[in-house]
Order: sequence, then C-alpha cells, then structure tokens
Amino acid sequence: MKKFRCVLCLLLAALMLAACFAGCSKKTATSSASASSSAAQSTAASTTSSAAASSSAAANPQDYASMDTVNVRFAQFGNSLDDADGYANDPIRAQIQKDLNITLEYDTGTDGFDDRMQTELYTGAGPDLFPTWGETDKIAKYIEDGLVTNIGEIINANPDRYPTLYKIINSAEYKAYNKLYTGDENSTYAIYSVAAFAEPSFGGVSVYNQSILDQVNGGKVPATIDEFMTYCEAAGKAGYVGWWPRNNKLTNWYEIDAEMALPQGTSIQAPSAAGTGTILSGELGTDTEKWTITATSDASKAVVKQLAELYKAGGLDANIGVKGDFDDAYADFGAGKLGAVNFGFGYPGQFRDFYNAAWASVKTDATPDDLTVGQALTSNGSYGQIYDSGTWINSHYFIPTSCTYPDRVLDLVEYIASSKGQDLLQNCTDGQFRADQGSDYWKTVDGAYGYGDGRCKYCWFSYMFSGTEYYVDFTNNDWWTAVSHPTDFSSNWATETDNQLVQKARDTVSAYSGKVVVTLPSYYNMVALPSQATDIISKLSDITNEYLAQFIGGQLDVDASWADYVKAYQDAGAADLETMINEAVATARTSYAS
Amino acid sequence: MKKQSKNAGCRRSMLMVCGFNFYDVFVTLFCVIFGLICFYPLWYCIVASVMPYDEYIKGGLMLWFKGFDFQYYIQIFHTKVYTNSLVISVLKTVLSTALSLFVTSTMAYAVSKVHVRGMRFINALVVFNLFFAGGLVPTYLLYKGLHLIGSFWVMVLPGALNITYFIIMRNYFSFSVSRDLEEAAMIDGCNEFGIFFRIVMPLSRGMIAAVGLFIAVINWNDYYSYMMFISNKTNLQPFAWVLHRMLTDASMMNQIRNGAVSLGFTLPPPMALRMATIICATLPIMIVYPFIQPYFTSGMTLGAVKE
Repeated sequence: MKKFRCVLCLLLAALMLAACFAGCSKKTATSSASASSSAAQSTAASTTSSAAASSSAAANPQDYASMDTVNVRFAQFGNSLDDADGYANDPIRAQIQKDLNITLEYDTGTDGFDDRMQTELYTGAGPDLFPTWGETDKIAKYIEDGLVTNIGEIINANPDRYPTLYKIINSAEYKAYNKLYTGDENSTYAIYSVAAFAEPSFGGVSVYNQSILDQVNGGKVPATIDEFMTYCEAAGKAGYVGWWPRNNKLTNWYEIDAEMALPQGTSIQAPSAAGTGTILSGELGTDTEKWTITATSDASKAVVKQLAELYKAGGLDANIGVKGDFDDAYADFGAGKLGAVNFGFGYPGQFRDFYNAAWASVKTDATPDDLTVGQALTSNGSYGQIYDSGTWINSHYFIPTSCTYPDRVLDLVEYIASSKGQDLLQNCTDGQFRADQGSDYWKTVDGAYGYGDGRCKYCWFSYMFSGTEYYVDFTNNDWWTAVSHPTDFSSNWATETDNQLVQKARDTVSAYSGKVVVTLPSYYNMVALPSQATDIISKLSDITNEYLAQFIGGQLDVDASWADYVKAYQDAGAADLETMINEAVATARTSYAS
Repeated sequence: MKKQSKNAGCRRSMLMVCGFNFYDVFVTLFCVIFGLICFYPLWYCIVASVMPYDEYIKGGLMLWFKGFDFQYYIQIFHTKVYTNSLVISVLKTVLSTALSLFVTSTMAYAVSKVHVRGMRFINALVVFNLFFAGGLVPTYLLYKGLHLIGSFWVMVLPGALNITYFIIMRNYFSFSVSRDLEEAAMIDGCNEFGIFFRIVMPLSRGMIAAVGLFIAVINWNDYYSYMMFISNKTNLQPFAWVLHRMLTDASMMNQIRNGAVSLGFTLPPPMALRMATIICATLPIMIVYPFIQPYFTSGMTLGAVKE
C-alpha cells in the first residue's frame, strides 16, 4: 500500500511537471521565425507577389483575385465588437474583403489593449496590423528587437503595386519622421497616423446655460476675466454652481489655465512641452525663442488667489479635483445646476456633442438657443495665447515580422490610402460626400462600429492615416498636406439640428480664434524630450495637483504656503526641465526647420 | 493575585455607570458605525440602481428609496452582452472552482504525506512558484503552446492549481486530519482514493467550503485572463469584464444607453446604470454566501486552537 501511495504521489507530481513544460516542448512556427529570417521571408514573399502582380495592377481588383486569400487581423484601439450582427453585416468590411480577396478579422480593446498588443508582439502572435500610441522609444525598441517589418523595403521594391504608399513614404516630411524615430530617413517601419483638426481646436472657452446667464448676468456673455468672475460669483449667490472647468480627477488643469491664466500672461498648469505649462519669450522660429515655466511665478500666484476666491464664493464647482466623471458634470448641467462648463469648445463639433449628451438627452423640448458658446476671455484687452502646431503624431501602425504575408497586408494599407478606400470609409465618391445614401449608410455602419452617435467616428481604419478620422486625399496632395489638411464630412451626415449647433459654435469661435491660437512652426512636431524629462514632468504634475487643489479649496493658504510650492518645484527639477525643453526645441529647429 | 482582582474591580466600577458598561456601549457603537460606513457604498448602489430618473438627477445623499424604477435592470437583461456574459461567468466560476478544488486538494493531500520520498521536493517546487512566477511573456507562450489562447478554457485551466490554497490545504491535511483515522480505514479495506474521498474530504468540509468560496470569488471577479488571452471574442466576455467596461469604456456605456432608448426609456444616467451593473455583479456571490456561511465560519477558525 505504501508503495502504491508513493507511485500515486509521484505520478501526480510528474503530471504537474509535464503540464508546466508542455508549452516549452513545442516550438511554434511563429516563435521559431527569427526577426531577420522573417524580414527576409517578407521581402521574398513580396517580391514573389510583385512578380505576379504586373505594373499598375494593384489598383485593379481583379488581380487580387488571383492571389491567395489570406486572413488579416487588424487591431485598433477603442472600437467595439459587441454587435455581432452589425459586424457580420458590415458593408465596409464586406467591400474590402471582396476587393482585396482577403478575410478581415478585427481586434480591439481599451484597458489592457496596449499590454496585450506588446505581449502578442513579443510572443510572435501579434495582429497583422496593429497600432501603438506613437511612442518614440517603442518604435526604436521594436526595430532593435527585430519585431516589426521594414515596410519601406517592400514598398520601394514594388512601387507599381503600392503607388500611394510609395508616394507617401518617399516624401521629405515622412523621411524626416523616419530620421526622428530610427535615425535613418530611409528606414520605414511604421505608418504614421497624424492628427490634425479641420478647424482650430483649443480650450478655455465655456458653454453657458442661457437661462442662468439671463437670470444673473442680464444675458451678457462674459468677455473679460473680471466679467467672468462676476458672473460665476453671481451664479453661486443665486444658488447655482458658477463654473465646472472640467478638471476631472485633477487631470485637466489645461481648461482652467486657458480660461483664467493665459489671458493674464501666465500658465499655472504643470509643464510638459513647449507651449504647455510654458510661456514664450523671444521670436518664434529664431534663436531668441525661449520657453519659461511659470507655474510658480507671481502672476500664477495671483491667478490661484482668484480661483480660491471664486471657490469661496461658490463660483467654482466644489468638486474641483473630486468630480471624476463627465457624466456627473453632464447630469448637473442637464439638471440646470451649473452655470458654465468647459469642454474644449474651441472645436465646433464638441459643442454639438456636449449639447446632445448633456442637454438634449434630458430635455425633451431642448433647442440650440438654450445654450450659449462663450468666448475666449481677455485681460487688460489681451487674449491668452494658445500655441499649437496644428498637427501631432497620433499613432504608429506596424506589421509584425511574425506576419508571413506583409505584402498582402500592405495591399490593404494601400487600398485604405487610395481614393477608393477613403471614399469607402467616408461614404464619398472621388472625395465628394454621397448625399443620396447618407443617413441610411451610417445607420448600417454604426452597428458595426460601436459608438452609435450617428457619425462614423471610430470606424475601423479611419484613423490609420488621420488621427482625427477625417478624409485624407493622397491622390491630389503630398503626404503632409493631406494629413495636415484633412476634410471633415461630419456635417454632411449630421441632422439639421446638429448642423445648426456646429454652425453656431463656428460663428462664435471664428470671431476670436485667430487672436488666440498661435501656430507653431512645423519643426515643433519633431521636438523630442529626453527620457529624464518624463520623470520630472510626472513629479511636477503630482506637485501641481497636490498644491493647487489645496490652495483653491482653502486647505492651504496661498500666501503662507506658496514658498513651499515653489521649493517643491525646484527640488523636482523644474529648472532642468525648462533647459531640456529649450534644448529640444533648438535641436528640432536646427535639424528640421529647413 | 489579590491586588489584580482589586484593580479589575476598580476598572469595572469606572466603566459601569448607572448600570451601563460604557466601554461595551462605545465598542458596540464604534462597530455599528464602522459597519454602516462599510455598508453604505453598497447601499448607495442598491438605492441608486432603482431610483426613478427624476429623483436621481436631483443628486445629494441617497439614504432611502424615493420610489422604485427597475428600468436599468430591465435594460441590462435585455442586452445580449450582459446576459451572455452572465452565463459565461457562471460557467467559468463553477468549472474553475470545482476543478481548482479537485486539483488543489488532491495535490495537497499527496504532498502532505511527507514521509513519501520526493514529496518535500515537489512541495518546494510548488512553493517556489508562489514567489517566482514566470512573467507575462513566458505565460503567454505556454498558453499559446497549449492552444489555450482565444479559448474559453484559458479562463479555467490555468487556475486549476492554486498555490496559496494548496499550502493551506496541505497544512490542514498534515496537522488536522488524524493519521489514526486513515490507518483505521486502511485496516477496514479502504484504498487511498477511498481514504481521501470518503474519510479525509468529509472531515475537511469546513476548510473545503471556505477555500471554495475564496476561489469562487476570485474566479467571479477575474477578467484579466479574458483581457490578456482572449479579448476580441466578445461572446466569451465574463461579467466582471463587462462591468469593468461599463466603468471605463464610453462605447460600452453608449451602447447600453442607446439600447435603453430603443426600449422606450428615457436616456438613462450612466452612473445609475453602473450601479445596477454593480448590483448584478455582486448579487450571485451575495446569494451563495449565506449557504456557505456555517462551513465558512468553521473553516476560518480551523487550526486556531492547538491541543
């Protein structure tokens, strides 16, 4: 019996060990493929396919029919796959599959998405086309580890098969980004998705509840800092909350900064880049340009005092730094408790979205006149200056080296970049919106694409080239012009009310946007801060959150504790960060300004 | 001795005033208030989840029901994502718990027999994993090699051997189950399986119930395995993941809210929907808990007193 027990125990142990090592015993095809051999495979595959597809053939769908049908797994952040029926009947997916002779598998996620992508990439199980958030260090690391395909080699070897991509990756601006990320302007490993709004976008503009505005301010829209404070305090006295500046969970001092501090020539938010938490002196584009961190300046102290006064008088939402959900603020606004709310109203479409989400959804008799778009405030007759390069890299799309048919994946990318692909995504014909099937078309598409707000936001592939999901015309423009000047078709599929709302915001904003927004030279897109800067920015952000919330909320006296705040900034390396920012700007100017 | 009792009497008299033991009153009050503070978030969820819309948007402290409106629950059970994920969660929890209890207890019983050659080494191997896990990438490779990626079983099989509860069970089998009983059973003709399933397991009901509850709760709340190893197969979403998305993912929230409108309800406030989802997520475990409570209590105190 003792012997039997011994054998039983050993068997159980052996079973456990066998299970532990089972995964290691089998060498999978993908994991065995080394980076270099994969790259070689990719190139070979593309050459073979290229031979099959004769010159100028890629634009012709019939030629794809002769190729092998492959399954392309495409990953994109923030979509939805919940609607199985909508997904199965998705007309865009069906059309792409038909035209390219591929099957398309979508992959998405929000929380944990980036970690999963990275894990899958390192284990040879990555999607055939996947994004990152455009982090400089990731692209370098992926290349170094041989994880991503050099798409430039494949495209340049087959210019007839990939005419649009060939044009894109060989543009001077694209090469500049290659140089920035890889050190070699001819190393193209990623599709760069560039975000640019079709109209200027900036914060620091409130939307007002017209009824409260009428009641406590005689209907007058505040135009100066003093008028705004008077309005907020009057609303507070009348039993409302004057202003919710969208500082959700202490993460967004930008709106407060843009509304109250920038017009007074300072910035109270934690610095993170040139133009964010920093104020410019000298002349842009020259050796004299200098960015200064002003969070702890005397001018900032005065602004913080104003905010503390506002808070004390009920003019500022008591949940500053606590209210953690837009929904809470929206519910308060919809219930008529809030006098003014910030939501980046520089962009007209955001006013429309806010109206629909916070107001019309709870008011059956809502009209656009119920709300008023405010204006950027002035102080001593001056507007605040918001610096913006107008464009930024939104994400990088990669093809992993574990993908055995990168040429076919590039067929898909080429298709999306072509006029045909862009027309398909945006419901256009040759770049002109198809009004004849507008709303019906989007109703079908919305089922498969999740957000269900009557527009094609977060459509699959829609931010592969344009981070703002607009139409990009690569046929008639070079890459940079196309991505920095996308076309916004949202008003074409919008309802009459939505159009009315957008126009209302546009009319108001256009009166002052030119005085507020200062466009930075394009080399500001190439400013790369060293990794040490990230740590300092993080520390400064924590310090700002800790001190400002207490100053404004009255837990700390501004006069008594301001010196501690200044010291905390100094100890965290604010001066070093300022130097890093100015050096990075100078490097970008000398390297890329031309 | 005499001095001690005199001091104790003095303390009693100081605490006892007007027939009340103020110390006990204070302790009781403290416990009640502390308990209420702990209970209030759950109570808030319950109240908010059935609060009529007009009352909800007034906000403020919600201490008691101001009417009942079950529209959020109706909406939840009309949404396929919810119902499907509930089924997945129940299946996952039942299978994982049963499998984990079986594998962990059999393994723990075997390893508790330290007189058998090699058992100490196996025990060391298992405990080693408690301190040094393989990490995400090796784990992913292992699951990939086992063809578990993208499969329902990746949420069930990897947790079959729970090392923490393995140690608890092993110690219990080593120190609390009398070896004399096992020998008596053996003399009566029982084999090793018979001893384990007919003698040891019934004697360990309290411990099994307590461990089972813990494992069930872990599995019910687990969404990491789905998030990392399945993710794009929405028909395999566990309820904990749906709840997580409700709290963090705007698309999920919009989907549910728009669904409510299509059912004829006013566009529901997101927070109220979240509250209803939280209640739905906690209710199954809350229902199971009272049935396990007697075993749970005895299981928790097992081994507390050594004779």
